[in-house]
Amino acid sequence: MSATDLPAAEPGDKRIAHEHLEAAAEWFARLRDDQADDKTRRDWHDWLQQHADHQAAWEYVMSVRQRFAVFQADNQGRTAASVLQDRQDRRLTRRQVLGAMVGVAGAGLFGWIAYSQTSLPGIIAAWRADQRTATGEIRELALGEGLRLWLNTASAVNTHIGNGTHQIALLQGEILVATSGKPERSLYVTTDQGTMRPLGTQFAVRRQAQATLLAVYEGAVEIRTMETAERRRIEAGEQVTFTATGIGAVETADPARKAWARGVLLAENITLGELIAELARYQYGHLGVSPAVADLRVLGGYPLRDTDKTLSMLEAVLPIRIKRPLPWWTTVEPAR
Amino acid sequence: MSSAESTVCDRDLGSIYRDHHGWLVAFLHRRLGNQPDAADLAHDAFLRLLKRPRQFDGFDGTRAYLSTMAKGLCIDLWRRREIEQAYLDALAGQPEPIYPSAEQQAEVLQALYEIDALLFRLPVKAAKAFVMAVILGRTDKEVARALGVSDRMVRKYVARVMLECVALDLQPNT
Repeated sequence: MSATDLPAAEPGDKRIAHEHLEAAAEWFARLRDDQADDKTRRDWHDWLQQHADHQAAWEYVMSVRQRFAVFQADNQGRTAASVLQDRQDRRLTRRQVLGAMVGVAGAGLFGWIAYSQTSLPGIIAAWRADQRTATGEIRELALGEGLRLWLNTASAVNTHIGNGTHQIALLQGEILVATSGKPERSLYVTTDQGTMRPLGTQFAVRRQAQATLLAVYEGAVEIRTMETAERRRIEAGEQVTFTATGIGAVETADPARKAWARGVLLAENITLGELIAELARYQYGHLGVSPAVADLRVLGGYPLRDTDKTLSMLEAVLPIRIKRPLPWWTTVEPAR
Repeated sequence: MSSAESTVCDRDLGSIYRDHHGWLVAFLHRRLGNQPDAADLAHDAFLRLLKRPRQFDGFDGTRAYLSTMAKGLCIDLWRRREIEQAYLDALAGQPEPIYPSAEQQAEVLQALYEIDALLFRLPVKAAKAFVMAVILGRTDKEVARALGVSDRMVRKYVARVMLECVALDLQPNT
């Protein structure tokens, strides 16, 4: 990694110092198995309150932790986890044999620390997005010329006004776009999978791992896929998932894909498991659901900005109870 | 191949494609032993070039770069296949067989590929401690006993791997 890979400092650039991330990772290690004493928890809480950067660092660790929830969610997740373990076990055996044969000492912690330092410029680069929301945050932006943009939780966009064009690059998460009147510039929304050109409209775009979900509520949007340059016009009331190489089947637009802009999580006869998975996008830390209640049907609108309130609303109407042994560890289980 | 053509391929991805795509597919076919995988990986290779354009040192330089990239893609493909097979075997080996949907499978496998790749770059004991502690949810004491290290060392391993995950997570998509 050369010095030229480091982005130049920009005013207002949000950065988390390495020491804060390191401290957050250490707190995670001390608290994660739920065996810590009260003093440790109080110390952690004090540390968290000391600085906004401490909270931001902690939030990052929690969002990464959330990524591993899939390995505990159900039987298939636990089966996958056992694969990871087996692969490391076999590696350990190989290494022990090798070590005994040639007397090689462990590569050691030092090489490893050096490695983790070198990847840090990447951390800084990720903060360069023009607009970004934290987990749990929903923000509305007025971009002028009748163009309004809502950023859903943990989302990031770059905006660029060029000669006659207005570009929005969705880097992460989900946006809802509404245009009114006759804009002077042509608007383009891009993801890794393609470009979307609205034709007087309201629509939502969500980034998935390898695909983009587009839901159109008013007007129409034209998609052009990144690699195959396939074009298709999606009309109001339709939604579609596309990749860089193709466009999927057209479905009915999901109203939930725009309700979030009003801070509402809309459940139209979905399962509790699906609802909790959606809610987990708005909350730091682990939010899991027991398979015993995951298939319960849920109906109604729930506040997205207050996940605790949503959980207690659910607890009031469903045979479930909410368990929260640690501030960042919540599970939904059958009521006793 | 004349030198005039190799100068063109320095500049333009389209001409790199014309000059090297057929060769790359054949090269991958020899390594992988089948045509569809070879075509897929060749496609991936050009996609990477498209995302990150770079200057090449003539015809031979381009080929050297492409063959190095192709070898890396093969290793990655084999690793993914190995993981996928292990996962399917494990599912089938459950007392009550599990049949996840294609979508669920894809999600779990993607998470597996990512964390597995990360863990293999880290010292084995730290990787193992992290899997047992964070992925399988064992206590520090249980992990410490299994690995023959102190509780404190387990926490040190967990913190280090977590920091590594955070650093990786914060990198822009590549």
